[in-house]
Amino acid sequence: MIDIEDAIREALHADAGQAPVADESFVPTTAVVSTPTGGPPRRPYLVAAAAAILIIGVVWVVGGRDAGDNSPAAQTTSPSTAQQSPATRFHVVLDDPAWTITMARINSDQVSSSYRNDTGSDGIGRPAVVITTGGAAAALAEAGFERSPVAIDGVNGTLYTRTGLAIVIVDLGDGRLATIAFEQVPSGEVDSLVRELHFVTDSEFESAAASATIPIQR
Amino acid sequence: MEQPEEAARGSFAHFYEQERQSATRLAWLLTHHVSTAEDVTQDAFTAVFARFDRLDNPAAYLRKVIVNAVYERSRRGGRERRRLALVHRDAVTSIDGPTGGLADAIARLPLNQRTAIVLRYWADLDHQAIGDAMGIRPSSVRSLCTRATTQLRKDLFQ
Repeated sequence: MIDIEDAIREALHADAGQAPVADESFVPTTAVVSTPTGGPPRRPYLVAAAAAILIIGVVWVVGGRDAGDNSPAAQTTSPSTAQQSPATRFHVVLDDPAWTITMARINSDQVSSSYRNDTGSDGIGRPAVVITTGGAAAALAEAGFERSPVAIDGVNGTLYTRTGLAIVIVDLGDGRLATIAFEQVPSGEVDSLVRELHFVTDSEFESAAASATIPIQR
Repeated sequence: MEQPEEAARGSFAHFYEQERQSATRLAWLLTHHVSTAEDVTQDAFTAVFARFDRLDNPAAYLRKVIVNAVYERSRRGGRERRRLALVHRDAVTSIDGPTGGLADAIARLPLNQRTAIVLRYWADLDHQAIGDAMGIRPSSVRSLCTRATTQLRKDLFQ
């Protein structure tokens, strides 16, 4: 007779062995702040740190993708390759205080994923940042999005809009694409939102994060 | 002389070293999604870091934050998937499931039952500690565990 509790324990411990390996060092990269204009702060403990640059998204892009705006799906590189090559990491920053802060990153071991740090707002303006493969643009066109060119710090991209949705796809070079998707964007605010998107260097990013409530610890 | 803030960071580093893998495993067991587990864990440690010197039991707080984060992500998962579907034609976000058998049956349990089971039989917590992590009464934990094991027994022996 199998003891169900023992069987559960055994199954869970075996399953836990498949968990990803935790990072050896801790970098509190979700240290971001929000001071929405015209309204109360979302979280009091964040307000004290609202002095400097507000970071809305960070994209860690790993190299080795081979996808253009209309190209086939990309290939990924290993995490170790990404860590060894700082040039393959990008941060996307939004410094408009009107928008609630979200950090996002791309995991190095997957084609794409999104990450959002819920700041407790109602969801307005919070972006999802993903790395898209080549089919994204076509899918957006089929979904009825309007298309217009944009540039983020001189990097050309395309803005796709539909009621309440704004999706920016920028070509990061080597065929890699970063997609920043905003939902519940009030009409008339898309342009100003896109204008606030910037790329920053690692040091600028870390400086901004350090000025928030939680310092970078490496 | 070591400044208080530096000392706190030092002890946090020790805490992180001690807890990082088990926290990641807990998040993994509750989500079965690599990047979600990593993100939940990162968020949880960030939350602990922000108030580390004020916490009596940072490990318990860490567990609670992980459980809450998983519940929150579960709630908003539908909306996220709909949005990602707008920009992804191909399946791009992997769901890394268990390998089969009882692990699959556990993964199919409702989230509250799964959470109770994971905390009970993987983390070896008592009903009180599980209740603290899940924000429910110990009697509710007991009920969840009973329902879950009944279901799993059914799955296992059918």
